[in-house]
Amino acid sequence: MTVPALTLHPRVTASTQDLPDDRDLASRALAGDTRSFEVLFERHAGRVYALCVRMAGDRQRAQELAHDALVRAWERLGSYKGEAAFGTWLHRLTVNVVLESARSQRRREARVALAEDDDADVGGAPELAPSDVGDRIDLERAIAKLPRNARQVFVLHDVEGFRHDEIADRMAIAPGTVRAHLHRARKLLIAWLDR
Amino acid sequence: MTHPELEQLNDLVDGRLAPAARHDVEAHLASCRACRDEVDALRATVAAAAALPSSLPVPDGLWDDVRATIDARRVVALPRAPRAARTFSTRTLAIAATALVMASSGLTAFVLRGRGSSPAPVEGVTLLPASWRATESGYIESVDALRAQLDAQRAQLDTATIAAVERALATIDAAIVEARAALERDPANAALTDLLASNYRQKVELLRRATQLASIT
Amino acid sequence: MKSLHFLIAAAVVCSTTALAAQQKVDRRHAVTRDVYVRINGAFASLRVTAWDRDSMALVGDVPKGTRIDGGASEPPSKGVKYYLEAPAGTQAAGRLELFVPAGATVWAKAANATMEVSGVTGGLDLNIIGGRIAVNGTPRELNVESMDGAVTVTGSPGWMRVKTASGNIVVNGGSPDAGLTTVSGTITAQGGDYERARIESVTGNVVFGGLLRRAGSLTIDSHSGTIDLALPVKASLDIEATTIAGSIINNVTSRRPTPGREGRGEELSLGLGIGDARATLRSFKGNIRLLRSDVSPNKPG
Repeated sequence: MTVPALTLHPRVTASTQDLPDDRDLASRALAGDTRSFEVLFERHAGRVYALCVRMAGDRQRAQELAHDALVRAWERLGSYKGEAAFGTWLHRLTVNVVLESARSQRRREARVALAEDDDADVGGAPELAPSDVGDRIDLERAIAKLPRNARQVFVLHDVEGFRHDEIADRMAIAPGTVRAHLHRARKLLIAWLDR
Repeated sequence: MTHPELEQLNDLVDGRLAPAARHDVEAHLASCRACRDEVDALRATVAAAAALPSSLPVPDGLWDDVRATIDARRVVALPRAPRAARTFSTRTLAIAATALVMASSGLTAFVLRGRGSSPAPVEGVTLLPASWRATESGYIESVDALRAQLDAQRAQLDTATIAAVERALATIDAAIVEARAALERDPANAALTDLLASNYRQKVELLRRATQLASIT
Repeated sequence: MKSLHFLIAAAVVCSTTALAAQQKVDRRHAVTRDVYVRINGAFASLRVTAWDRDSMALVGDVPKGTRIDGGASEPPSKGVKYYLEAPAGTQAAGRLELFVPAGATVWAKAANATMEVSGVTGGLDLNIIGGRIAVNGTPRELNVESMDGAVTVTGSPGWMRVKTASGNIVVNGGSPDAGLTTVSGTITAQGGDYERARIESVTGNVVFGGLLRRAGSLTIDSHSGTIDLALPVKASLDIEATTIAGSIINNVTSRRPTPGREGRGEELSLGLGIGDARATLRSFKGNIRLLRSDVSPNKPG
């Protein structure tokens, strides 16, 4: 018996070479296939999470942000046209989710304290134990302790490679402010890490 | 030349100094050890940041949570259940139900019947941390949506299957009630938060599977 | 004598009636080596066997009146799909055998059925409510969902997810990426290497006797089940065990657990060897036991 127009559920896996590429997976996911989206998740969630951890400076919060970004990616798959790499598209979407959340948090805080003091959340030097942790871990911890705006500018510029004007645009702050935050972040990191 | 401003050294490292200014700063660096060290430290920091791994290990359960939210929203978006209306009504019901339950302390009986949502966070009543409350309301949203879908399919399932699903749900709900009460007593307990989240994941997952059984019974 | 003839005649009639109540199934198709086969509906048993041919066969007996829909796309088929519907008012009773190329992906779903799979190296997606599932071999990807049915896996799937409500789960072998979940069934993972394993139960007991690869991770969460972690002599891993109300029993080193937060439950942190893998064990009110296993000490922990 032959059934000509038989369509089957596409089957995907994350661990072999003859895999569908991200664009195929994205279009299957757009059609409602969560397994394809799971493969995209397996490929890209680590990067999304890393960005969220560094931007948020808090793992619990980072997990929530990564969740929100990935759910939004699923909901907005229709806006991914395939002209850029999927990873790039997802990365930019994640930056937006993180910055939007930071903005609404600032608004909430502004209602409580009229004069927002970005320095308020600067603690002392983070507790580092150079004897048993590597430099990289030290740097991750130190980044987490930076004041929020300085941390976000530093991560976007020095870790993620965004330009000053892009950061100013996305964070809705003046380019001069970006420069000041970046400078402050580096100064604090150098002091804490005793470079 | 006097020592350049630290901002200028930053701009130098970023290649953002105008040629004339850059010439001045570089000339100064040639003769000033302190400023050279400063620039070296800046470069080392920038290089270390750029060398951080672009990816970190994803926390356990992240996919399950993303999947649960996706499933729940997909259910809510079904044609005969307008999204805005359904979202509003389930959330309102959940809060109303929880307020009622908490007031009457009939929580266990209520949840064990397996007919309602799990305890929803109510502002000013619960002592749970804000980050957990956000996570929990996500689970509850998923549970409510899947539960509504399951109830709509009830007629298609045989009684033995319904009994099996309800038995499992009752087991999970009893665990949720117990773990949640413990978390209220000790809100900062991370292990407890993870255990409670694990119970919720089980519930969402079981409901998701149950909604897919209608096609085979 | 007449009555004997009558009895014999009656017996013959009865047995032909019983035979007539069955219908033979024999469907054969030329397929690709990575064919995707989907079979769904009314059958009581399905045995899937991998063979070394560019074809597949579905053979067996089903009750008369069973409707079989579906079929294959243009040969050699990349996809074959069957849907079986039992005659109205009857229980599913068909017994089927499916032969597929080893690289096939098989998706099978039935209400109450025994499913036995052997030798498939492609993908498996098996779903039952009650009955039993047994997988032998090493599929690249294995997804099993069952409510009450027990699940046994013998082999080392590249990626494995097994979820049950009350069905017991037994895995003999390991996996680079394993997720085992049950509400009230037991979970037993014996032998084999694991790279990343996540095990969750609500009330079911868990026994883990597998080996963790270097930099591997194991998480076991249970609400009220007992968690047993069996460790080889040369295990090299960091263990964090926490209970909220249960006890921790350490039969591996002399370290004793400390009382948990606010004096409830217990906690135990343990570093074995150079600690290049990590295990996190958490139970709300079940006990956690660290035991010595009799696994060969030559294998890395």
